Amino acid sequence: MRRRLAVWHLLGPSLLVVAVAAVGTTTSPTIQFQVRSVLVTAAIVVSLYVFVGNSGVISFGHVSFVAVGAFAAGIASAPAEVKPSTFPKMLPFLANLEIGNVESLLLAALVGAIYAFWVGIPLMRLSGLSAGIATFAVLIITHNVIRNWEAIGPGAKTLALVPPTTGFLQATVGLLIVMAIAYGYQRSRWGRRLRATREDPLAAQASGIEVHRERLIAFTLSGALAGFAGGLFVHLLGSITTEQVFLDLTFVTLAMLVVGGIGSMWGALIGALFIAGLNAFLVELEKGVVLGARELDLPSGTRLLTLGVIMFVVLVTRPEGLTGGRELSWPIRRRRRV
Amino acid sequence: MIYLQAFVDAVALGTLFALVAMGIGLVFGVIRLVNFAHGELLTAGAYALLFTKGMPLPVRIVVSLAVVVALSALMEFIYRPLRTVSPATVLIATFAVSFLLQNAALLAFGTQGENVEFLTELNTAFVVGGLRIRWITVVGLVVGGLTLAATGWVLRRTDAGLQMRAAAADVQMARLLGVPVRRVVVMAFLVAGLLAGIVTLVLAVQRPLITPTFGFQVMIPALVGVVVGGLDRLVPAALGGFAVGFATVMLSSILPGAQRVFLNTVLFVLVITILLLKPDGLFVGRRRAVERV
Amino acid sequence: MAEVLLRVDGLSVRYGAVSAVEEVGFGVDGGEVVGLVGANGAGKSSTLLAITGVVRPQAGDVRLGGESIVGWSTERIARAGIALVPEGRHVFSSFTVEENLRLGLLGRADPAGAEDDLAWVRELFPVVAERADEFAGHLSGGQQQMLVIARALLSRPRVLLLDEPSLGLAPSVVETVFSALEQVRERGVAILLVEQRAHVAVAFADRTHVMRSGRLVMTLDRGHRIDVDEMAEAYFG
Ligand SMILES: Nc1ncnc2c1ncn2[C@@H]1O[C@H](COP(=O)(O)OP(=O)(O)O)[C@@H](O)[C@H]1O
Ligand SMILES: [Mg+2]
Repeated sequence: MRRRLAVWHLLGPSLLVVAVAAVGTTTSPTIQFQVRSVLVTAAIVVSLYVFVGNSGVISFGHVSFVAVGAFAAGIASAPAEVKPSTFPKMLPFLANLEIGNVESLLLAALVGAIYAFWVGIPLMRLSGLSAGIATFAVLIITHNVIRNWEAIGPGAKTLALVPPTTGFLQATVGLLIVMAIAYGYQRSRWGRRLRATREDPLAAQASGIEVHRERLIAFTLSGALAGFAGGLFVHLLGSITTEQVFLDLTFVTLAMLVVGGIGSMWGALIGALFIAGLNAFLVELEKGVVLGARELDLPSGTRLLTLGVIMFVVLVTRPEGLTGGRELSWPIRRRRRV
Repeated sequence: MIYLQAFVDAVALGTLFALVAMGIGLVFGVIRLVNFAHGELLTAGAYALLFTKGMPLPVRIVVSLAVVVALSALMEFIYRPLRTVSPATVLIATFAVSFLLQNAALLAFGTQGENVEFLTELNTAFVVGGLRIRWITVVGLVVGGLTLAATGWVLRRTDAGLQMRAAAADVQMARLLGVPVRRVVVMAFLVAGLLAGIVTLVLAVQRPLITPTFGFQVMIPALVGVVVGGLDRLVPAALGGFAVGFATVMLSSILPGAQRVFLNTVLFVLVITILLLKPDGLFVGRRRAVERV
Repeated sequence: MAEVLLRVDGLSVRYGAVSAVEEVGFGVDGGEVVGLVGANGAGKSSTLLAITGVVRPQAGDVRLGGESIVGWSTERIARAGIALVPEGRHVFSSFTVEENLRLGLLGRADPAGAEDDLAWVRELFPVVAERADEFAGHLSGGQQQMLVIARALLSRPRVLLLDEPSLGLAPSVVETVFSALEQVRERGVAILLVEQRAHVAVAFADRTHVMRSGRLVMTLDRGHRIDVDEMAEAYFG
């Protein structure tokens, strides 16, 4: 039973992801794009969960790793013929680089991991609000540097012509990979140690667990996955600006995690699917849809406003999130509540 | 000379940030809640000024202050269900309210912004000893300084202030001494609202273009200041806000032209450094930090 | 028959699955001192916290002057005249001694007589007058305990609850504290004194209840000669 349940904790969510993707392929092209972006956003949220969910420390800085992943993959794979003229100040090495799709995703993960590791060494000493502010500082710095240091980034311009390789197959497989790694980590020795520090830091420390080390492992892994998701993201969009991986995305992904339930991967996924699904729906409404004879056209801004309201209501009525921070339960014989 | 000029501006901005920081710190002290939506109080006040454009000055000021204080009281009410919720969730929930209000403003007023035309004559400058000083800098300094002093006086000398500080320091013991904690919480939000309202008035003169992120842009550095200075004590929190405002202006005048775009990087690297070296707060003495544990 | 000032009946307190207090009942009248002793974890502090509304009792009643106060907020109970001097020294350490005392005064239902009471506590504990402008956190442990008691007295309680006031204090300080409490009793205040060491309570209280695993198991009269075996039995069963 235990083993079966453990497998189910990964298998159940994976089936849901595959189902969402499968249904998505049958829809109209604009909706298809929305479904793919839901899948990629879910990958970002699960990567965020790896650190925040297991450690209990809030990070406002995770989109930094998404950003470096996205720009690493985007710049490395955009065509070498156009880069030197569009970005005259870019390092020649980067401007002339042009790598394939798989390589660029791996590069994104690698860059995310390295960046998170170095940032994590000092930052993982902090907890609570200090950690929140420090990670937020990382986000601001990352954005500031990518946006203004034109030797390595696009500056205020749009990075365009990135090969749009994140189709349904890559979005789905990418998300499943992120989930499998997140799940594997959570079940591993390191994952359990870190969860022990979340429940009771002092007791965990007393029993010989090194909080700093365990957090750093999770932060680095989380950075790698976030970077990878950023790679998927840039290949989904095809073109990207620094503003697309900054405050709004930070807010939206944190909201997803909290609404779903911080404490479980199932929560991360459900929160992402729920809010991203809703978000996609509202985006379509903002563009205007024909409902029967009448056209419904919501003004822009409605989307985030609605999200804000829903998020607040969920937080107040279900502070542990939609899933209560638990993994998916076995659907046939429900375990009794204690 | 350039530095002296910058110094004056730095002190002025620091004073405003200190007021915002104090409001955030006051509320945090009493109910352990970081109100991310504190910035939207300023935004609301600014839009109130915008809507009363053309009306007599006293009306505009009173309406703006009233809107801010009322919104702050409303926030207190909205946050009540959060009392039993984990700190991480509270943080995200107030973040949600901030986002919600920003987008409501976006929806209602659009992004491009509008000029508030409030006390524009204060933007003229006078020259003293080679320094060009705008009147609003002087007014901001005086108003900010007086408000800080008045708040300090209320907290130290009045009964309500004493009770507010008691609830902030140890809410259980305060209850056991009969401190009406609910009323104190409302009061903290009202005072925080009033501080935000006053900041809005000064800021609307300095930055007359009112957009949905008018307040958010001030709240973030002020909040950073609060955490850097020392979150659960008012004076350190206010000093932290001052330090961030001061450092922003000084750094932007010290950095060479081409590097000025990296102001945020330099500032936030400093913030991280301070958080690492003094996690309890830059302006919290060692002994007090220990006592708290 | 007039009801006693503080009446506790069938009081039970649970923390989740842990039962801390079970069906405890006793009364304390004005001018009376009642002791409550027992081993660590017996449920003494929980009893006091339930009386003051800090924890909500699972069952039972607490009456102050005949009126049930169960379910009232802590601040309302405090204003109704029950003051608790909790375990450990809860001074506001970043406040001055004077400010700590002012907080006590603010808890009074009736502001009349505040000056007299202030003069009285300064006489009971001269140190609170001598070090009025210093931070309470800078006082020694014994001085802090005196400050906390002085602060509680300034709210002019009808019932004073003390949780292990002599814990960790030098003998001379204990003496000062208990002679002060003697005067408080003479003013007609009802005192409930929680102690771990039975002889301290028995020497001072009119009667002393012994608590074990959440229940009252024995009552000792004032000056009861304490037999070691009997006490061991009462404390640990
Ligand atoms: N906040 C709490 N949560 C859970 N259990 C508690 C709590 N406070 C006390 N207890 C338990 O209740 C019992 C009684 O504790 P307490 O009232 O403090 O006893 P005493 O004051 O006599 O030492 C003990 O078993 C203790 O572990
Ligand atoms: Mg006890």
